[in-house]
Amino acid sequence: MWKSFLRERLSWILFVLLWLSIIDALLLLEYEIKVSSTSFWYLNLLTLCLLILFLLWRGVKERRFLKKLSLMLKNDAYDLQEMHSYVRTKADEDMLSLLQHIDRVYRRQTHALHVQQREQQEYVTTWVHEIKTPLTAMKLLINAHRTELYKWPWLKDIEDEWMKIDGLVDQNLYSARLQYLEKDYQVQPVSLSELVFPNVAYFSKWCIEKKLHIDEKNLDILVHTDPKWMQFVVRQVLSNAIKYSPLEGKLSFFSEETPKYVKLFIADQGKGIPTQDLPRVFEKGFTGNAGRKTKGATGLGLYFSKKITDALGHRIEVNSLLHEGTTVILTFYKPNSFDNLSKM
Amino acid sequence: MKILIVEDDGKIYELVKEKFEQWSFEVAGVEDFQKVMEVFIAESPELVILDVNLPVYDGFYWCQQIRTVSKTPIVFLSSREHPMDIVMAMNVGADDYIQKPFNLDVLVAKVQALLRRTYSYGDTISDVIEWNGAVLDLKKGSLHYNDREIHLTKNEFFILRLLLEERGKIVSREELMRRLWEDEKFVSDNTLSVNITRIRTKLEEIGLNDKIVTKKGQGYLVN
Repeated sequence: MWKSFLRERLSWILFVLLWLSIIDALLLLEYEIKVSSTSFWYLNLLTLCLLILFLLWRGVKERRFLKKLSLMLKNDAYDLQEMHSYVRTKADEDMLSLLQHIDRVYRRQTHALHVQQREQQEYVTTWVHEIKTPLTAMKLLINAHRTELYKWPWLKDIEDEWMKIDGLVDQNLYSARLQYLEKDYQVQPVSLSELVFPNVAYFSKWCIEKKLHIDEKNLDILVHTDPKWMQFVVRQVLSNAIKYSPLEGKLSFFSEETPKYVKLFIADQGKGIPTQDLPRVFEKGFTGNAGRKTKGATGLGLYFSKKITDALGHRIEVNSLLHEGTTVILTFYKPNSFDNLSKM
Repeated sequence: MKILIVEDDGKIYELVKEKFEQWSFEVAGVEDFQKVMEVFIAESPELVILDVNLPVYDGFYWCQQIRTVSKTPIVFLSSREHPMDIVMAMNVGADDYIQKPFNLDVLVAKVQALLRRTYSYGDTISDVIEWNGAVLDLKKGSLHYNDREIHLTKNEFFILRLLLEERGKIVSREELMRRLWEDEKFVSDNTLSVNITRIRTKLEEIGLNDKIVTKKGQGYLVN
């Protein structure tokens, strides 16, 4: 900081030194002026000392504001108003008022964006709630005529389309909420079966049509999570598992418990994911080869799942063997695993 | 038993009404959504099904209004699934909260459970299905005929009850499977066949022969 201060004032310093040397030259060369050599050196030394003292004084005073300012700006939640008490010079004041002007413009713009974004999010949420009413009416109508399906064979296709719409509407709702996830969840004890069974029931149509066999073991274990968000995650995973399952394939749900964590395994017997694609499955919009061949793969399901599990402090992994199947593993860490460990 | 359904979507109202009438409930509705309280007082129902999103005032408001004069059980129907909405519903005095899209069977089951809890039931709602002189006990899951009783497993009971509810209609195997799965009983096609065979054997034991008719390629029929 001193370096830049001195460099900035180099021309002034040089000017003073030049002025001093002109006076020196005058004293030495002008015939009529007679100065003793002591006085001569005294004058030079005094001027230089005064110059250094002056520079030190100005330096301390003028750098003070800059130092405070740069210290303050390191903190994201800075308040330029506070800087007023550190203003020492007119230059400080000018700089501060310019900074405040920029700050105001910037804050106004971000605020407008925030308002706009919140309005958008509220609109999406309201829209989802509104559209759930006609969707409910449609579902009830389909269900009312489902018993005698042989009379209305096309009803099956309508229901398929209904399920796709419902799934997309949910994705829309959860993606709008995702940015507020940190503030919008409630952790409570939930059994793994509460996460899995309602979703299998939801997809019953597709499972039955594919004659899938459901194999479930040890799902009575409790985990600490937000049921709403995690049910959504399991739904995304399950929807993939069913989509890529072969006819008469098996869907397995099982768990593993240690003092540190509970793992939920969701395994299908589908085509599997090529090894080179595995690291990319959580990327936004990644659909892979199988997905590109199936209509309706948005490449968002696993992307959302990853974001949600990360935010909730869980973990999601995908293991896969080509032509053998895919296993998705959800890991729920125990909240007091540290206590448990120290007791052991 | 009378149920008041406060739902502004005409189609949903019709379908819910139809379902409850099937279960021999009396159903009342609201036409002018400014006058929900008037209708409630005039009809004095045993239970209210209340939508949250309504014209003029929302369901939370009407729930509070009803609570000032009555303890009638109230079930909310809502497309809002945020925990805060559920807390809100409970705070204004609701007894249950069902999310849209919902399943009519679930709604009926919840309403029946509530009525049972509120009005020391038994005399008020029928808990049996009568069928050609046989009686299916919905509480015990058993079937009585000519002083003889057979016990049914959970799945068998579920299937028989469904066939009896849809009496006179052909119920496809696929639909049976769907209903079982939607009730979180994930049975396979084979298990369903085994269950049907067992129900038939049990029915024969008490003298109810050939009551479940197989319609080839369509499903099962009970008369």
